[in-house]
Amino acid sequence: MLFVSSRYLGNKIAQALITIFIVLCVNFFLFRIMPGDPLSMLMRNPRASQQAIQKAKELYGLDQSLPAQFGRYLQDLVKLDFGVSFMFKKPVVEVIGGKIGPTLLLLGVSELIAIILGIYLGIVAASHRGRIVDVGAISLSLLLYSLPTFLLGMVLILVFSVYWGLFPSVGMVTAAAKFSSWWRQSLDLLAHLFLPAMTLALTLIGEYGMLMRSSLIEVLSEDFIVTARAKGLSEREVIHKHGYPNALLPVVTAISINLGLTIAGAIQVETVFSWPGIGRLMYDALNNRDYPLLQGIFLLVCICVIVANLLSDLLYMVLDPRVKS
Amino acid sequence: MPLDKPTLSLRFKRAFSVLYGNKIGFTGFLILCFFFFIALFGPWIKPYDIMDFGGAADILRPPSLEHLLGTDDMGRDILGGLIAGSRISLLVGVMATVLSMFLGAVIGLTAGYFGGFIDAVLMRLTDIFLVLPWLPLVLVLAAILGANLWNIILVIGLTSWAGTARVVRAQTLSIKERTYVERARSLGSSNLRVILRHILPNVFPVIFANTVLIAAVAILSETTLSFLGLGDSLNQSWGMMLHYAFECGAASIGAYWFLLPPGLCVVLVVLGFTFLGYALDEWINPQIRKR
Amino acid sequence: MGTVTPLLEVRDLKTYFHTKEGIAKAVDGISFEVNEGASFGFVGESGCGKTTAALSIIKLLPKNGRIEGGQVLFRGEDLTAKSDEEIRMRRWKDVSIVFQGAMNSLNPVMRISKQIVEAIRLHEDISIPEARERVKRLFAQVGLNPALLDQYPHEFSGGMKQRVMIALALACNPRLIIGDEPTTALDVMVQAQILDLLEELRRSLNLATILISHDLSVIFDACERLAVMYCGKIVEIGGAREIYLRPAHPYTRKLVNAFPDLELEKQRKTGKRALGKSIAGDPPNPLDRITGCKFHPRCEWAEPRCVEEEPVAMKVGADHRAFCWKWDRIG
Repeated sequence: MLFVSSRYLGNKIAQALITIFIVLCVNFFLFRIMPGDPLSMLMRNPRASQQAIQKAKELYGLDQSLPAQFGRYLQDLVKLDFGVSFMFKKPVVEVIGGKIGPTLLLLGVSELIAIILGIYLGIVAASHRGRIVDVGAISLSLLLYSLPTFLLGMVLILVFSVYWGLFPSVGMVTAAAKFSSWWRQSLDLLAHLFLPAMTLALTLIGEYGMLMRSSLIEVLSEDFIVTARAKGLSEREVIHKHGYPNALLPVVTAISINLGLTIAGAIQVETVFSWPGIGRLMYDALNNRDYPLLQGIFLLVCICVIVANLLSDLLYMVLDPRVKS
Repeated sequence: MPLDKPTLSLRFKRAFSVLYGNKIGFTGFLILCFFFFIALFGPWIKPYDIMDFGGAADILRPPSLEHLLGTDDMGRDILGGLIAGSRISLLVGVMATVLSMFLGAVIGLTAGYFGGFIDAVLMRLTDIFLVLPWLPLVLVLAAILGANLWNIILVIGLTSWAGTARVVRAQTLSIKERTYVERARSLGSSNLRVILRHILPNVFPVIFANTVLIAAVAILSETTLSFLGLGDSLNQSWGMMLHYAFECGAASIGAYWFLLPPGLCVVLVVLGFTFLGYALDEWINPQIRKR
Repeated sequence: MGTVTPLLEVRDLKTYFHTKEGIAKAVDGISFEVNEGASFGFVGESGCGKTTAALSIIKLLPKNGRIEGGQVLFRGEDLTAKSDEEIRMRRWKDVSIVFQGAMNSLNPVMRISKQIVEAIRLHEDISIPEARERVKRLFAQVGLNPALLDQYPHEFSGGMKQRVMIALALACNPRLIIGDEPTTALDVMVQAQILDLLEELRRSLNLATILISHDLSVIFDACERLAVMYCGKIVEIGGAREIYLRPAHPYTRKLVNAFPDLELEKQRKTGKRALGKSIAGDPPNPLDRITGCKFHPRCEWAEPRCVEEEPVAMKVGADHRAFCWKWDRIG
């Protein structure tokens, strides 16, 4: 058993490392074939002197051979040197580092809401299978699936912020506000967090809900559920002790596998609500053609997603005793 | 011809009867017919020229008799924009889907049919595409290639084939084992001939159902890309309209007419494709129907 | 027979399923009895209602299934009159079930010990260590190594899982064990071991057993008495030996003829499972309304009376009844 597990584990880690390496390569080459790289911009500028071009070439290491450039690129990565952002004129690592906190806050809160409500929605739908509640839940998740996240965000702003004036729609704190106490400040943060977190959570709820629904329906049709009933457990005990633990397995792993999709949602939500996180940063980097920054964010996000996938495999191994090689 | 190989026309006939019997699928079909009609005949039915920038008084006007859906921040008629946008949105959706399906089918068929090393390499590649975060990848590619219609199609097509490849591969593997395929191979038919004559016709329904679902994803991708500022500003899609609506702060100033119509169009088309996709999927995998 | 009160007496039991397409009469008025320590069997094609008949005893039915009539007398007490709550507490304590353990009848993410302890502590007020001690005894009793009791189901082979199912069934000292296709997914050698184990336990613990199988050879081998079911009805009932030697109902005859080799002993020697040929025609859809004898559409001896009038029990032997108008006039 232990042998099988460690082989499985090794296999998964190797796969993740290969994927990360490929991402590194893709990142390296993509940003060297781009038409708008700083060097070609500089060269297009007729006033750029030969010296300036040479200097830029040296600065970006473009005067070296491609393998040498790749070696330098890897070295820089190990030193966490992702270059300097055009926009902020600061090292990319510093720029990104300052934005991680707000994104984690947004992702964490949205995931929490989505997991709780999504699983609840799935359970309610599954236990009223084929009836109005179920049809409603399915329609809701289908609608949420078809709705671009940014559009949902703008509609929520329109309703909650503009018409009802309930929640702020921009940023993370009220600009230039002074707070009399820490809890007033927290309240302000929560108010700002509400709409973005709600938007992101809503896009996830449909997904988790439908997954939980189908998973629970499938589990409840399994033979061991009949065994549990035959033993004399009440319907409630059957579902709680034998239904949920089995039905939750795919949902739990979906949460980390879905991180890629969640990040896609976060980019849109942060953009719409000017939330000062990685997603908004990516939007700004895109629209200012800040390639070093874009490259840094892309690398960070890819590695996070790959690691999350690896973690979900590990989690499954812990939760489901059946997992073998 | 063996019994388990119905002809294509018979398949479509069956598909249509199933579709007609399936309310959800038929709804999707009607929605799509409507939008494709608008897109095809748009140039003749549009009431306003989208290049007609009105005067300063025409900027961001709410719906009225003159402008049924109001005007945008440059004084253009929203309804006219919607009709013109339908061509771009659907064109990107369809072309990106065709590219995606082509890649998915070729890679899936190749991996499934030849197996071994080729299979291992192609599936590794597929896994990587499945793992990589889709939107950041699309954004980076679009940013690097530059924002124009064909690049957007290319980028969406290049990043959305992995799921299809997997399904096609699985189907190919099971069909490869069937006796008439083995017979054809042992009789010395060329690989290409076996794939085209025997395997592709059987894999086709799977590809077809997937196509419709991918189309929904492609439309959503285009909308999101355009919204994030990577759309083609010369060919204004619904996504670009939403981008302009966002840029001028339509939500914050309560200009719902600038926001909701293009949004609704996107949602309806995506729903249309999704409905149709579910119906087709049910027809192709009848065992799901029992669930 | 007849002088002792039977452990279980089922009278005119009717269990119907309410589906969208209409009412399916899965069990339509069957009567049988099982004595203390006796072995009884149900045989028939899949969908004939044999499993529903057995599970109706403890009301273990899907949501759309309901007992519409008849009585289930367990030691003289009518179980159909009990509330769901009361019947729940009788499950496993009086009547337990051995499902197809080789399939998915055990919870894959719960340790086996826990699954058995759960059943014991539900019905008896004892501590976990005491319950675990009993699980160890049960493991030894069914021929499993007690050291394995904290394993997960997937770590066991099909035969071992079936032994776990039997240990689970014995956990609360029931009087009756129902075996629902208990050996179907197993190979012949393991099947023989499991049937021997059940037989040995039945004798040593004076347990009654009801075996359900589509495999005639299993039922003939393992049961003293049996009932042949077709389309929700018992078509023939009596001593296994008598039915084997002198099948009376046309359906039973076809079933017997369809099996090339009913002697399980021979199968054991060759190690091969004797596969029955399927008999001509399809079993009817349970939603169909068939008048008279349910079997008449597939019966080559059917006469007008068989179409019009439902057959009553005809005495074939001392303990042998067939529900056929013309069993004695068939060649």
